[in-house]
Amino acid sequence: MTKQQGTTLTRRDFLKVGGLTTAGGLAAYSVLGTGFKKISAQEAQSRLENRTVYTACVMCPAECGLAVRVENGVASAIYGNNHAPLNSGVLCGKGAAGLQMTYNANRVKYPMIRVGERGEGKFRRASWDEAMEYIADKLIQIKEETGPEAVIMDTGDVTDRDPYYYFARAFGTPHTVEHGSICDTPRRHGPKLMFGGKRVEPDIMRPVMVRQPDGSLKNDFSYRTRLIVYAGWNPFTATRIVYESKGTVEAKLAGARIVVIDPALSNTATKADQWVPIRPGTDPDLFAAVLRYILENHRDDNPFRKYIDWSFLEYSQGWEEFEEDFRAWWGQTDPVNDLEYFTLEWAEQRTGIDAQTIAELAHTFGITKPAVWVWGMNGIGHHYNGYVAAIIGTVLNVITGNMEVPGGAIDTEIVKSSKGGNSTGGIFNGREVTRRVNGRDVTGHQEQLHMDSFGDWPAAWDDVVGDYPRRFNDGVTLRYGPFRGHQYPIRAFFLRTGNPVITASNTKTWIDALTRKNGDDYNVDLVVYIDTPLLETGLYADVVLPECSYLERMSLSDIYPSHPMIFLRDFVIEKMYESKSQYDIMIALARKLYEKGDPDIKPEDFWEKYPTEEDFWNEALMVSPGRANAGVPLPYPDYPVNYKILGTPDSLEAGRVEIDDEKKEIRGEPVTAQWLRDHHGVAVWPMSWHRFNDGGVLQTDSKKVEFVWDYEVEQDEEVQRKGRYAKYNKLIEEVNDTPPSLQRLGWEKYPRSFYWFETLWNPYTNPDYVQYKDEYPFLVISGRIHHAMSGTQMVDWLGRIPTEDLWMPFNDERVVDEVIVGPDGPAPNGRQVRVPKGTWCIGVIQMNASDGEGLGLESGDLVELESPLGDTTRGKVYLVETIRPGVLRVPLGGGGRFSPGLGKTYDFRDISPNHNEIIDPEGLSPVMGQPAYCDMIVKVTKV
Amino acid sequence: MTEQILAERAGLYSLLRALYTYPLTDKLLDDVAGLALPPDSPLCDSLMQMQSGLKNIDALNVEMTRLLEGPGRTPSPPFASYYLNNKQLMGPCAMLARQTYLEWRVYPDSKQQLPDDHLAQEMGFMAHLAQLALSSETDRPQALAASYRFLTEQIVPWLPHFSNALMQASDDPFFVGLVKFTQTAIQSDLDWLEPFRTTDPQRTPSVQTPGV
Repeated sequence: MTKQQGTTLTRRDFLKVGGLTTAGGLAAYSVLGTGFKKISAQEAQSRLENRTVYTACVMCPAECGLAVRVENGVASAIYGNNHAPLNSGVLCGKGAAGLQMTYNANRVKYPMIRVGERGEGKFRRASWDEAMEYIADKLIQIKEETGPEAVIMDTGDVTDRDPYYYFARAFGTPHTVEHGSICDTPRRHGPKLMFGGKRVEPDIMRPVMVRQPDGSLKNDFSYRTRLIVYAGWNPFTATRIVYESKGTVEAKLAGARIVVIDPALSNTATKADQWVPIRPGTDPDLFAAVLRYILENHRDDNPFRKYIDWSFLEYSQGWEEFEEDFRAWWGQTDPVNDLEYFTLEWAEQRTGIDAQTIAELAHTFGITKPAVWVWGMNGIGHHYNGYVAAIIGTVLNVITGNMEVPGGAIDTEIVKSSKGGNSTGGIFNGREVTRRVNGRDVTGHQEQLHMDSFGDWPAAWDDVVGDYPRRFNDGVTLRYGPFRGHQYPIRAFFLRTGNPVITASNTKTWIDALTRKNGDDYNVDLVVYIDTPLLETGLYADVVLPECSYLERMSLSDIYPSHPMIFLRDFVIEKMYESKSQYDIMIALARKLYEKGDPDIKPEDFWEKYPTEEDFWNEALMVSPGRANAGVPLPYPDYPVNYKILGTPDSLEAGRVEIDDEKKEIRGEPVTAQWLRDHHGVAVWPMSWHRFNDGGVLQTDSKKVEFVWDYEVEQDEEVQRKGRYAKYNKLIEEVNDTPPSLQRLGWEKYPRSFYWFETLWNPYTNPDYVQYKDEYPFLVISGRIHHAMSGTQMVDWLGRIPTEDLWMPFNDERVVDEVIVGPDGPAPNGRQVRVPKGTWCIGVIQMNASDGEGLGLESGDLVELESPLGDTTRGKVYLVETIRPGVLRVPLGGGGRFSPGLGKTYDFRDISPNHNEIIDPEGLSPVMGQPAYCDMIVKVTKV
Repeated sequence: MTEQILAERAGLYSLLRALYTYPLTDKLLDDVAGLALPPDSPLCDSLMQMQSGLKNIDALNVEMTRLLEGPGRTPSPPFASYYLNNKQLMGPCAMLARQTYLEWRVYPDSKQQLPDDHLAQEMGFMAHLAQLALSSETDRPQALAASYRFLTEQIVPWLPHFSNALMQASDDPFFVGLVKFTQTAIQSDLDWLEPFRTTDPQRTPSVQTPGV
């Protein structure tokens, strides 16, 4: 700015710029105020002070412990927390980029109410009170007309969700769900059935704190693992088990052999001794062949063939039946290749891996101890029949004696610290409710209105987000339980920190479901979006609520370590704009509903019970760590074995405990947020191994590893059905009604033990799809990049850094018309920005170079993928030697992003693929309803 | 005369703060409508342009939302850091603004936590300094010197970028007039303040070159 030419303003001139001719002139406008208040010297000083706050990350599901530097009230730098064993002070680039998420100009700042059609992204700013009025009026109407079960609370991908669960359940709906439903549920199934767990991971988290013979606790940094097999698992990307990246490298340096089974040379595979480029969708086949090899070739009397450690029988039951059911397939012939199931030759034909390699892998795994067989998200979790692999994988670890041994396998779900307790609102699901069903009043419990558990998916303990579009369109009819026959529509969808339009089954079906109308009104009356960034699903919301970033809120991290520990997520900076924390939003919604006379929302359940946010999270900590005093060495030798441990580490060490022999609990002083704050944000309890002994940490009905999942026991002089599938089979048997997903398999109910079925859209393994083999020669699989799925795309650094051969600087030079969501929808605003070529990463389609050559393609060419269902997506190919021919890998959430608030990723949406545009909307895996992201075939055409 | 000018300055910055604070109100728009200037005032054209754009309050607030508030990408975010810190908020200029406020023992009095380099906050701080200069003869020299410094270090480096971004994004006469009015008013005030500036060796300006 320069002085106006030819003028020199004098004091008199300045008056000319004032409003002399108005009464009082400009001076009168002083009444509008300054917007500033005076503060004391002390307050000013405290705001200027620099400090370090310990908290937990959300830039990916690992949720590492952080130490955040705060200068003058501004978060200035993010480091790893040295006191958090999960990441041991290490911080990755994603975590360090967190400031770009919090301090992003595109974050949702204020409540917004839609003013255009859903999808146009046209909003107006509203006050919190107005937004709460809007939501509450709709909820009350829905409750009165339909019942609260017509409301879904989906808390998406960030796990500090308890306030939303609490609110929703108190309101009266049993439909509380989170990202797990669409993450990798088939992968979790084996451990869930057999241990009551979820995640089998290698014992490579270091340090671990171990009880010594002299009673002291010492950190153990030694790595004992001799072999890790990662099947379809890539821990060197943005995944939950962060210590597996560092741990794999360290274990290898300590002598472990690393084998990666993956169609692509993933980041993890680059660290491996052996990469096995398996055909997609055939991990179960490989696992089955390995198990058959072990069973056939094990010799008790030959140390070079002693694969099986029979001590597993001491803490398990049902093995004989499982083995019998598994062997029952051996004599059968696969119609795809006329070979006997599970032989090496059969597996060779299906997996594309030669028989000798499979045999050697099986032998090596059998003979090497300790070893661990790990499977993961993309490889098993994203396939229709992933359950089969998860079950066999679990069996492999158990029968080879590798579960819970030092250096072996750990089910981290059943050893991590518990949290939540009453703060999740589970108690409300036990409410008695009455509905009119087929002309008569029926009374049952709130949870029995659940559309999955008592509907089409009784075994889907993580609910079925992938099937929501169908329910939005068609409504719900309950099949099981006292409310069988009860029908209701879905009328409200709350979505928090998730993006199902991009990541939960087929994109088109989601858009259709959210925009479908009945006359002039939307089928789903109310869509509420709660988050910090505005993702694609938010464009379809009626109300957008600004949730604080992770640096502005409090909660507890959701981590999967080798032993109990918990991190506090703490307030680092003041909440920005008008954003609110989850607790704030829970209270605001509850207050408004209470004001309007909702009969289920009571002050004594909300603001009277939890006057402050810290009170709420202290409730969640009441159940921590909540694990059995079990294993070797015993975590607390002075306390009873297998009693549940509760309380702070220091009170337990000091003996400031109460022993409850009736409840079998050891109760120290409760863990609180302040205690965590006083201890660098972290609580750590001792590590031990062999925690399955005498039941220990096992969560099955029998407190044993269960190979049979529907069995009878005599208890209290009556015969009771036990096992994970028993409950669901009882529901089915009561009404003789098989869920549709099981009917598709030809089953009547859930099997007692081993089962086998084929995946979808795989012409190499499923005879139904052989006809498509020639025309659609490519199997499409998903990959992961360093973004936290779809939610961190507006972070500048992560947009510039390539990874995994899936996120590459393939942008062309563009002078980009900045698109804003204006009065007429998305439109150029006249401002232009030049993005030089090769300076921004976009999601790409990874293809083998020989395939590309055959199609006349070069890296960077734009292609279209088309499925047999006619769905298409476009993106640039990246030709590499490091992916199996006949396979394409596409990053989930990495392309086709159409929310304008995503920065440059939005600008390149036309040349980056949206994986979910081509997945089969009907491809929901039969037990848990997980979308089969990696079960699709395509043809490729150059654009 | 000086007292009158000081009062005019205080009113000017209070008005500017209000005009960049969402939402606009009917009362504020009435104030704008009622403001009249001598025909030879450099502010005249821009004021008239603003006044020609006065219309339904909802329409103005919707446009203000689009231009300044979001959600999602806005064409003209009203934060210094956006323009000086490579589009990331809470950059060094935000910290410097906060530090300045705290050195003067004042802090934004608002339920919403805006970054300290939001244009409304910075205008509000200028209003505070102007009020101080008006009300306290003892503090006047320092307040006026600080005003000059704050304008040159905290506002002038980025205001033109913000103004250009807004004018490219909108042809709404109210908002286009507003940014022109703001630029001219600040330039005028800078010229008037120049004799009051001091060279304080302890206050080295640390202004980043624009990053956009």
